[in-house]
Amino acid sequence: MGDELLTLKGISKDFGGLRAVNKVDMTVEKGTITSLIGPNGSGKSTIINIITGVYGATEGSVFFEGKCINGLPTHEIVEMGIARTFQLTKLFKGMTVLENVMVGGHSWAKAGNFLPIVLNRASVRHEEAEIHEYATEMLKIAGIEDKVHEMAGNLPHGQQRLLELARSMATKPRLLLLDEPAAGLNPHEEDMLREALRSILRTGITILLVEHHMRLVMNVSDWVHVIDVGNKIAEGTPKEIGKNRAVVKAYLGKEF
Amino acid sequence: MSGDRKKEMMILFLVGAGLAVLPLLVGEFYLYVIRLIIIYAISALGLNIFMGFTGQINIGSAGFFCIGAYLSTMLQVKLGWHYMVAFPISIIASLFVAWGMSFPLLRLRGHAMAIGTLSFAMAINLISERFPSLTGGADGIVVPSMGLFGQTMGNNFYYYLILAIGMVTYLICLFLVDSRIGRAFRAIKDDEAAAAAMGVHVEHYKTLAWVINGVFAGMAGSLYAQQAGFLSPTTFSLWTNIIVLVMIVVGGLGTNFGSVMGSAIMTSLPYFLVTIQQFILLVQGLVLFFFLRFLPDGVVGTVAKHYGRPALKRGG
Repeated sequence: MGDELLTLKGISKDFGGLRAVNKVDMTVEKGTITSLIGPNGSGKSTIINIITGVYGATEGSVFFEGKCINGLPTHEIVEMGIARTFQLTKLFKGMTVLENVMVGGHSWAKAGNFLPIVLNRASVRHEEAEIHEYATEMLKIAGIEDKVHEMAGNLPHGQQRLLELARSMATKPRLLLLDEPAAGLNPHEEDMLREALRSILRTGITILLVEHHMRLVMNVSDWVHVIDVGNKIAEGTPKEIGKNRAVVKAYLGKEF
Repeated sequence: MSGDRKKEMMILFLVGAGLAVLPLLVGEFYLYVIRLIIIYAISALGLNIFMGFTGQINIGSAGFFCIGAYLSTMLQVKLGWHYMVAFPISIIASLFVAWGMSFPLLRLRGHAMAIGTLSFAMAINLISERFPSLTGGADGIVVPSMGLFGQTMGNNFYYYLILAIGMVTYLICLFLVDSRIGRAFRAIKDDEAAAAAMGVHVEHYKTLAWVINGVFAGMAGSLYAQQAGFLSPTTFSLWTNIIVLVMIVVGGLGTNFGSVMGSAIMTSLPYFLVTIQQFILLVQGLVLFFFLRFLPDGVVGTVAKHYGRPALKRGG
């Protein structure tokens, strides 16, 4: 086994009397695409929300690069190197495609504080150029660099998903959490997404993929975790998971 | 992008130069109206940062107008300080009051935020009325005219002071909205959860936008009192809250230039309608209705949309 980038230890989450996630242990190895699958309502998005600090865990702890990140606010977790996309796209619809991605520069571009900005300091202008360049590069990886000046809300659904991917990449993460990125994509866009995932992996970013789309999961994953009704029921390589009895019964319906 | 900025700066410089030679060409009446336009534009620019860019609600601009105006006046009357000392102090006071009020007010959302900010303005207004020994109470207070090098400064001096501060204010807004901070503001307006997921500290930037709003309004209030020469609790009423709001809507929410245009339109309107003075409120109401119904993007927003220029929409 390689390095553990992200480790969940005994994570539980209660919403009132309902236990959405129950004592889940999970690790994500550096440099892999790890998938988290399970039926609707099994707690996958809740786990993403716990990792990114949107919810506090009821019990258990989350370690990122060996540091405990429980209870930290979302923006600090982003600064540490965890980025995410949303199950339902949450773009900044009043901004252009390029500006959307440039927001991602917020966490690492630190010269842009109030005084330097209003004094129009050179450091700020250089940093703006740097953010601009990096954002353009991310749009290229996502394959939508020809849309830079369009308003984000005017893009077709598939390209909005790719834009969200580019935007999260612009935070320079080491771990990328993708919440159902293939939802609603047509076969062509799905190919673009798969291409994008591969090039993201090549840049040294680890991916945790939450997905329903089994063809994509089986195709790109190095390791798969399966949860059902908040409990982890299996983990293994895509091949092992596709033949796992419990997984087939709970989720897949047939062997993959 | 930098080319756009250069062009904007050029235009701003030309407008500034044009306004600077105006006292040689036109009479005091026009200068008076322009002073008012710039004063309200300063306040509208601040409100636009908080409402237009960051997407929050503030119907309490008059509260900060009052703080800026009364504080700089009282420091002059009661302590005999010079306006050039009292003015910056009133600005700093607005900053601290805004920062302090951010804790209760910025936790609110939507309607609650509207009511909360309005109550804040009403409270400040009542305070200015209920301490007659300090503020002159309902009778008002005469603002001492300012002396410099043994001479009393006249309206032209205030004109240039207001123009200079207006220019600086506009420049600050121009740089701000097209920066890391401006992007954070607009991200918060569009989606707070996504903004946080991009590493934006949402509360921090809401507070910053609110403090900018408060400081600009306080500045405008102090300048208004100083050039008007008289101050009473009715100077900044509920109407002040509303009119600044109307300005940024008419000019176009989320555009700096729109705030200035809105101020120019709404401030000068009563002077065009002197002959039907009793219907001014009605006309202003109709103007607001017309814009909300037919041009919800405002003057500048509509033009920008028509020509597909988002950069124009933001800056100038």
